[in-house]
Amino acid sequence: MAGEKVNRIHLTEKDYQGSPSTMCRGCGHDAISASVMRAFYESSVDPRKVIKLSGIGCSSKTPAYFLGQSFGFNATHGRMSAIATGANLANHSLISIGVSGDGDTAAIGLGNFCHMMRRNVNIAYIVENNGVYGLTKGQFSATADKGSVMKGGKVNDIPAIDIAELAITFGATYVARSFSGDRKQLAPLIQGALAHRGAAILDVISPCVTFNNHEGSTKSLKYAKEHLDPIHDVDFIPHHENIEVDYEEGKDQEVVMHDGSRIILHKLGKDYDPSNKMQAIVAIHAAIAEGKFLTGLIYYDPTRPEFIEDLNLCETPLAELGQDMLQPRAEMLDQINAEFMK
Amino acid sequence: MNLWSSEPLALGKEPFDRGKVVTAAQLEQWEKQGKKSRRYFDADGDGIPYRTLPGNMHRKAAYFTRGSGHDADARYSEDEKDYKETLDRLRHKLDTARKYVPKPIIETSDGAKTGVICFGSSYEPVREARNRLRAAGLKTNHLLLRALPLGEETREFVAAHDRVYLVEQNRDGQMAAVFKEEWPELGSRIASVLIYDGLPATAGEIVRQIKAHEAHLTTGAEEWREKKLIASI
Repeated sequence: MAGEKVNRIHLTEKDYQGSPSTMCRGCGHDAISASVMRAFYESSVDPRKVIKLSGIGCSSKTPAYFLGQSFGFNATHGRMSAIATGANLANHSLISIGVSGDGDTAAIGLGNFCHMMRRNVNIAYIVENNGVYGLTKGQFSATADKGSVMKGGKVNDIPAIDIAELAITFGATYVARSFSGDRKQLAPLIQGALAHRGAAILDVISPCVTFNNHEGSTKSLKYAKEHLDPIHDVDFIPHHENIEVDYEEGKDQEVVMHDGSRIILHKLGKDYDPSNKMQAIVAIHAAIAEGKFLTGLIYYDPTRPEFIEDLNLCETPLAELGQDMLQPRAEMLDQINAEFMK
Repeated sequence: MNLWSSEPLALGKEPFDRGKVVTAAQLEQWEKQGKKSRRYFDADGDGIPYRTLPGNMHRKAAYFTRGSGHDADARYSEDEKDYKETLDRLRHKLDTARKYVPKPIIETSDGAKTGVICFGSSYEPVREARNRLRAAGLKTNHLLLRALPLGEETREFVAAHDRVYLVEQNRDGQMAAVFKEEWPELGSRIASVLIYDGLPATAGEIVRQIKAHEAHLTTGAEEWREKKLIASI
C-alpha cells in the first residue's frame, strides 16, 4: 500500500503477522506475540529465513499467530529443544525462534531444555511463564512460587524452578527476563536474542488471565506489575543502523553483538555487569528473597562458541549438501575399513 | 573384551531419495501452470502429499506442522471432517508404504513344509536352531522380517506353510498379534516361540519350544503337557 511504513527489506508490519489468535482475551501470550512481530520487523529479518518451533501448551500454540510466512513446527510436549537442536544441525542458515511454556520447558521438557543450553544451540527461546497449566485448567506448574495460591485456594508448598538461573547454570549465553506487558523492554531483548549466536533464553512473565490472575497468585498481572525489578532500560540498535549514542559515563553500558548490533543498557541505580556470571546468579537469588522479578539482560557471554562451531560443521548447511559431499569416496571408506582391522 | 567384527562397510549404490520434495523452482513452475501447492492434499492417490523443506524461499513454501488438527492446506482446523480425512489419508499412506519398506529375506530348504519367521537379534539363534532341527529331521523355510507394515511377500510365505513359528523376544507375542490382525484367516497357522527370560535368545530354547509344539501336534495334548512339564524341569 502506498505510503505504508516499511522496514529495511521493504516489508510492512503486516508481513510479520500470522493467523488470528485463539488465546483468551487479555492473555499475556498475545502481548508477547506482538513483541515478537515488532522485534522481527524492527530487525528487518526475512520471515522466509525463520523457523518457528514450539512444544505443547497455550504458549506453544502462539507461533501460529505470528510470522505466517515462516515454517513452523509444533513438536510433541517438552521436545522442542531436541527438535530445535536437530533443525539447527540440518540447516544453520535459518533463524530459529522457539516459544515454550513453563510446563513444556521446566517440567516434561526439562531434560531436553538443559541439554540444548549445554550445547549452546543457536536459538531465541522464549518461555511464556505463567506458573500454571492453562490448557488443563490451572494446576501449578514447576515455576509456581512457593506460597502462591491456586484459583481454588490451594497453596503451593514446593519451591519454584527459576528458569533464568537454570539457563545461566546450564550454559545459555544470553539470558534475559521480562514481562509480557513491557513491550518497550521485551522487543529489544528479543532483537538482541535474534542477533546473538548461541542459546538465548528469555523468561517472560506472562499472566494467565483465566487461571492465575487472582489475589494470592504471584504471577498475576497486578502482582507482576508491582514486583517487577528492572536492572536497566534496554535499547537495541541493529547492525545496519549507524546511530551514534551519547553515553553517560557510569550510567550506560554498550553490549556489542556478534553481527555488530548493539544493546544499550541504561542503568537504573544498580551497578550491574551482565557478563559476570556469579553476580547474575547472586542477583537472581537476592530478587527471589525479596519476592521480586528481576528483569532485563541478566547474563551475556559472547565468547562461547555456538554448537555448530564446536562441531566444526561446514558453512553449507547439511540439508543443502548433495550426495557427492555427504558420502565418502570409495578409497576413503577403504581406509576407514582398514583402520578397523588394525 | 566385547570386540566384534562385521563385514567391511560398503557404500550405498542407491541415489539419495528424499521423496516428494518440491523446490522453489518447481513451485514457481506450478504457479505458472495454475497448479496449487497443497501441503496435505493427496494429489497422486498414494496418500503421500508433496512437501517443501525449510530453507525453500518461495513465498508459498512455508507451512505450520502440528498434529492432525489441520486441513489439506495445512490450515488449523477443529472440523471433524478434516480430522477424519487426515486419518484416512494416513491409513492410505501406510498401505502405500507396504510396497516401499525393506523386503523380507527368505531362505528355503527343499521339501520344507514348516516356516520360521523372526526379526532383529533373533536371527542368528534361529539360524542355528534351524540347523539343529534339520539334523533332527525337521526341515524349515525361513523369513527374516525387516520392516513394518507387513507386505505381500510375508503374507504369501505364511499362506504357503501349514505351520509357521514366529520367534520373538517378548511375553505376549506382540508381532504374532500384528500378523493375526492383518490376516485373521491365516492366524491358525502361526505358533509363537516366545523368549522373555531376560537373557539373549538361544538356539537351544528355540529348538526346545518348536519340538514341544511339534510333539503336541503329533501326540496329542495330554502327552504334550507331560513332555512340556518334563522339559521345564
